[in-house]
Amino acid sequence: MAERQPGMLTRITRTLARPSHWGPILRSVRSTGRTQHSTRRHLLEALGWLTRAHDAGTDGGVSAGYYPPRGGWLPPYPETTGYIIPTLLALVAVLEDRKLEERARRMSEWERGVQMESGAVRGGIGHNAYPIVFNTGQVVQGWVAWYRHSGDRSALDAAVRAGRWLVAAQYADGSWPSHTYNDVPHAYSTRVAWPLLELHAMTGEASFHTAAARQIRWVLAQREANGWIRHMAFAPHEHPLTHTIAYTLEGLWESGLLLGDELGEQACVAACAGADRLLAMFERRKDAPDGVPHPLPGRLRAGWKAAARFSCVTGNSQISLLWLRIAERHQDARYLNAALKLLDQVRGTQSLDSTNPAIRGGIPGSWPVWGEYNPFAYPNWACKFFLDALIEEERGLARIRGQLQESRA
Amino acid sequence: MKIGLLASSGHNLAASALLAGLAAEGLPPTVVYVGRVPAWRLLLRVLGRNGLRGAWARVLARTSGGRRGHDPAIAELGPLAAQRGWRGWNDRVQVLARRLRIPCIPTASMNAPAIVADVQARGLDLLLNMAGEILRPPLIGAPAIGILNAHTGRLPEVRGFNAVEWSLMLGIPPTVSVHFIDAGVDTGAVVTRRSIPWERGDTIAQLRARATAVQVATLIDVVQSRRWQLAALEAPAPGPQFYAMHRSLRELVERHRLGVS
Repeated sequence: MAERQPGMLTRITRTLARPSHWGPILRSVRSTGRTQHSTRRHLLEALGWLTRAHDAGTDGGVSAGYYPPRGGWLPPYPETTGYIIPTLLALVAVLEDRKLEERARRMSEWERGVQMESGAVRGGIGHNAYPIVFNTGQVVQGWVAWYRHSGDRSALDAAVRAGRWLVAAQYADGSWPSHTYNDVPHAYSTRVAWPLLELHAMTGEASFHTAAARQIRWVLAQREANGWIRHMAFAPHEHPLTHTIAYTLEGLWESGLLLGDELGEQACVAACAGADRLLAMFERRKDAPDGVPHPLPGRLRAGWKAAARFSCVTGNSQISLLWLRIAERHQDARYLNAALKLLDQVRGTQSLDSTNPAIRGGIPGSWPVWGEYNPFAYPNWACKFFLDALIEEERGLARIRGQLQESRA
Repeated sequence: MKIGLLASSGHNLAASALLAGLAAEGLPPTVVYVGRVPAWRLLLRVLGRNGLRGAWARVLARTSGGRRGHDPAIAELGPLAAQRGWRGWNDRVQVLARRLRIPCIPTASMNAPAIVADVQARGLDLLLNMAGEILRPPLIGAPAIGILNAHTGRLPEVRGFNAVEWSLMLGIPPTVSVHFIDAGVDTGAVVTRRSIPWERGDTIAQLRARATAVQVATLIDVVQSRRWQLAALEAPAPGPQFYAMHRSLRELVERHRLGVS
């Protein structure tokens, strides 16, 4: 059951009650998105915030985030705890920090503890009694990552149970129109196809591959001539956030690579077409050719046109991440270039000196912070995607450095 | 042949040098169109790009060291201008145009209907572009021959912005390509290409300054020789379009390609 939302006056009072909450509001007015700090500093502060969010959760789940309008740290969020696991494991390698491994283990165990009898993952924040397809897919990804890293069979077993539930819940056309947010099918369920393909790679169970391929085919059938994909939004007749657009494209891209066949190629082409439209939009929205791009709008309407004035910071990190992956695969530095600029804007939203540990290092939902996506709040997934993007950014720059050094030799 | 010159602003050193060079070669333009950005918009642009400190630094640089401040292109254009006798090449466009008795028409945009009408009314054959804005079809179709642009990248491979930097990153020799402007970005028929000399130890700023000198010299040579008449021109299949290069990539190019520490 959905948590009862506090009234407007309560939310405003809670937001303004602590002086540390004023900082992001002031920075929203002043910030030009530039930062003087190293990428590593931003990464470490973001990781610090994420570990505090983990500690603020209960029994191993990660708090959904710091939400001043709702009183502070929220209960743990099964969906996002799930896909934070691979982020922590990637950081184990980057930072050589084994303590992160222990956190990932606790998250995996917590997820198994709250998994439903059916194998599905609970929807929403906290301990709810309804399953959600998308959320289940994200936790499958976490369990698969933990199993791959540790060999913990119980994680793989949990993932298989969840995967079988996903297969059973899918309609014949490849969509998932029930057990979804707003009970409508979503194109961003490509990000459920992706973990199903990972699960298939681990287990060889054919039904996972079949279900994933069906979903990809269904999403490709939603494409329009200009590359726009229908049903990317949370609700019908709503303009999608860049957050869910990025989910859709990322799911297509990663699924396409795992499929590796003609369908996979079509998926990658569709993902690239969307990524290209976003890149052109981002690079051209500026006052002068050598100027700083304007912030990417948080919502787009069909035809890749701006549909909001605020920027969805999570979506910005996710889009940067997609560009970075394409840059690596296609050896095309233009995508890396765009990602660097977009990540500069995300870095500009991160406070590195707040006296409030629940804000310092966190990434807000929107910029300016009063934007409509999680206003005045710091969702844990905003931090997760920022970390993922920073890891890929460092790798991308290292690759370019290596190529330039090699060509000189 | 009636020539018009498009200058992004009165402070455009390349435009001044081109104007002086054409005049010295006996090819003075019939008219100069000069971009005029309202001061408040210019200030916002500079502040947005550089922040408060950066904007103040630019003001100081512009007001010290002579009228042009510290434009590195001066070091490259100076010897060329001296060699070829380009008088007044370092003056503001409007000042030089006035001295040469060439009409100078200010405009907020080169694509303005009034500019298109003026080009047609004067019967201009050729426009030379130093405007720095995207030109649109009404203007593109206005002069009888077309609009020539000197792009600082080898076309069709390196289209778009910061072409010098991107050329270095991609291992493509830095090149100036003189081409006719069409509705696309750097997609028109290429008239000629000329290398930009470089060596290890050059900075990107020095190379861009050198590119400016090559741009101006090449445009003058193309106009003088009417090079577009010498061979059938084709618009090659366009390569990828590049955008402003992020400082992190620029630093890598300077350090590892140019050897600047």
